[in-house]
Amino acid sequence: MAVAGWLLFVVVAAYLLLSNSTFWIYVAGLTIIFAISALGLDWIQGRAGQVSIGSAGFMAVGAFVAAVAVEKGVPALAALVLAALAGGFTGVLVGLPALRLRGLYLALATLALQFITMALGTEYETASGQIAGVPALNTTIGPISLTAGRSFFVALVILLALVIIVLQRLYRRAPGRAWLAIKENEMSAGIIGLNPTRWKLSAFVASSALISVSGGLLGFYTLRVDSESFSLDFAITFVAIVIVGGLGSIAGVITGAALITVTPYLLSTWTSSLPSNLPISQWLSSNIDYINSGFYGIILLAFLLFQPRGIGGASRALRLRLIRRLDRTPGAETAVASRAAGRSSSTAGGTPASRASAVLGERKLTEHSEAVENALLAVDGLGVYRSGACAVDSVDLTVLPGEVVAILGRNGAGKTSTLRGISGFFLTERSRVTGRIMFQGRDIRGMSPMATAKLGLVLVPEREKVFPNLTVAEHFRVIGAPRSEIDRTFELFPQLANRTQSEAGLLSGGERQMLALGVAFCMKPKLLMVDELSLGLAPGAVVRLTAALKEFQQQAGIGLILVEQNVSAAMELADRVYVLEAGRVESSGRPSELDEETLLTTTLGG
Amino acid sequence: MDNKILEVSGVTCEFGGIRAVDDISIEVEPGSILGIIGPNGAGKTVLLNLINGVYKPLRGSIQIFGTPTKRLRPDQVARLGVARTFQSTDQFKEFRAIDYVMLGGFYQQYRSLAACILGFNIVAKRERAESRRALEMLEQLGLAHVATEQLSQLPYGVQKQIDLARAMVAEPRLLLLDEPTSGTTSSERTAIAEVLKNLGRSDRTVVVVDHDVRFLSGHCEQLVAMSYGRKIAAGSVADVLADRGVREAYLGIPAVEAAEEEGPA
Repeated sequence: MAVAGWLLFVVVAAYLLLSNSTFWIYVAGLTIIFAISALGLDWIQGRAGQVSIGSAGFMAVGAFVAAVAVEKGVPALAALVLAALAGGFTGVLVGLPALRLRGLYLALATLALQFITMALGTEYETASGQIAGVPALNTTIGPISLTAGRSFFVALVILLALVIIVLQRLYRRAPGRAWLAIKENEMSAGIIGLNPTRWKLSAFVASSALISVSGGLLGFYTLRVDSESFSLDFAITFVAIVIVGGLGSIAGVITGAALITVTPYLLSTWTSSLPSNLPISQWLSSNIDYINSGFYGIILLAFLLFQPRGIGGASRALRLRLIRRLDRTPGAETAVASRAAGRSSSTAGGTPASRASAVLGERKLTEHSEAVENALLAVDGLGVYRSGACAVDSVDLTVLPGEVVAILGRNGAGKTSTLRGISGFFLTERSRVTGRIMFQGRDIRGMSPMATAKLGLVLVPEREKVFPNLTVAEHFRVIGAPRSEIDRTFELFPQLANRTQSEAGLLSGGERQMLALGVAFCMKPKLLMVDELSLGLAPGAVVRLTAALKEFQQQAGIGLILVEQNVSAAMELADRVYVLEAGRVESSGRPSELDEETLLTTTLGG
Repeated sequence: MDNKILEVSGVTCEFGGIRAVDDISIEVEPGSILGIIGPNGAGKTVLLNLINGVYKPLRGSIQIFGTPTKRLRPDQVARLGVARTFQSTDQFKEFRAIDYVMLGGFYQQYRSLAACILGFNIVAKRERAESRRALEMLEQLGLAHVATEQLSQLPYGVQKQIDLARAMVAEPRLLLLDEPTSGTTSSERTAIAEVLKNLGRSDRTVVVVDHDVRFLSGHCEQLVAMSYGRKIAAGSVADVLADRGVREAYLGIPAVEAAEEEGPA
């Protein structure tokens, strides 16, 4: 894959050189300068997780410093080094507020830089009498002339290749891990032993230096540095490039830079090639700037809507899927064969456990057809595929009204995926769900979690079950729970009653579980699905909770699906048990029909 | 200097008017394993965060290896030789397992961004050594086969073990574990117990917060029980579990039945 990328890069560069088209070589050189700047933005935003829209500001710093230095007789190479130093220094200035600011506030701080540099640039232009901008003429590094042309294009191609190699190295090694850790969770990164301040600042300084160098190059390339050209529109171009290309993907960002830079030129050559007697061509050529801006807007919206992870993200997903498919084709047959072999051996005697499961399987068939009629939930051949990998192969499962069903199985057997598949959560995660999911006689496959929740199907997930920025009271307010319901929840979980005004993010792990369950109860579900009921709960709380759950379930007559690690607790609560293994139902039946000891040893590997 | 590994004296910590930790004192002897139990919201994780230096105590002091941690950042506390595992595993999703484990050894060597940019040979060498160490640790836990998988794609219990591997790679002198067994299957629990058992033989000291009383009583020498931010009992495992207050506040067993054997696991 990486080889293919490099090959494409070299072929495109060679083709342009051989084509001898001055115009397209100019456009390609510009694309490379923009790509370098965009890679700097991806560095700070995609890797270190610090939102920035200050690219144009950093480029302006580099462009002015380099142009003024060259004007004062400094050699071009030294001028570019000065631009890098100035950019790095500006990076410290912007990085310092970043130690405290986050998200939108940080973006605004970087935007301030943009206006400051523009104002300073204009000031310098007026003071020095260069109203039309600072000229940057006759710049050379050795034999290479730093103006648009073949030799500069070759130099830019080599420079971009070097930047890619260095960045790849950084991201794969310790610095990349440090930035990713800080991006994902700064507090925990600190506990692990990383100094967030140091790594955030280093990312700001280094990426700003890179962006400033690209600004300096741009000044040389266009022969003139004018503060007007580093406008907010220009800053947004780079945001567009990294969004279209996909944050966190070098190849994606370069493709994005090519797309965003080249398209306007393509459009204008196309409009000028139209016969001039058409009424539309006149209109097109006089409005080309507006058409171009509109085009940016449309591309950006389209990507945000349909491919928020950009070209890079899309190609990564595609690659994963291809690899998985190639992996599966030969393996699938053997898996089916071994399963068939397992089945034939069980009918020919087999272990007591497999014989029991075979018997249960038969009984299930007859039970199944009559149960489906009045079942609350009837799942038929559920399959869940996450980025091409099979998480659930084929699961049949029914829940009758008022029934408690437990799903057991080792980690990775597909329990969580089954619940998420049923509730529609996977829809939002771009996974494929197959089979039939009948809830109260209605096929709900393909419905959003919001729609299934409205129908009365409520899932309490394993993680990310509360909104960290809402208080406990606000959680209940959001779902419009009546006072009496809330009081009942607080009776059940007295701890919550003391913390109604605390943000959920400040609750302990167990308290979050209580809050999530309390909210779920108040939503008056017809079918409640709980992934890991006792997760992180103290033994006393589990005892209280299971009692309350049973009472709540019997009062409301709802169906209940529990996924549990705690086998004995599940056996005690459940009317029926399903044991999953490798994405399939290994056995099912009433707790009394399943031997707990066999379950423990054969299925849970304990 | 005395040879206390960890000394928490009279520490109090408040959030928005709620006293999360209230006048807690703990001492941990070298090479011992201390368990902390308590109902949800008792302040157990807050106490660990205080030891890590994430929160600063309102009153009281914390000393680790004889060093007061009052003015230290969390990463500086880690550099003293303190490693910690996390209760929830949803904070690091984008990491591959092996890369995450490699984070554990991060702080032990000086990292220079300039050296990485210039591509010095020593950087690549160190990188190889670290990935080898991380892989060995994963092998010990029987998880070498998921080394290149993304954390978010792995089951909860496996993520917990990988988090433990990350902490172990740091070769800490003090190891803080926050609910290592929650959400794990019985076989995973055995694997975690195995790691703890091996730890007991080396000179490492462990503080472990957990709800699995059977797990704790199998490995801890001492137990501390917390409720509403206060220490309600401390001492040997048997003494603490027999304590009337502990039975009522934590295990949910009415005092009448207190004579019967230990609570549900």
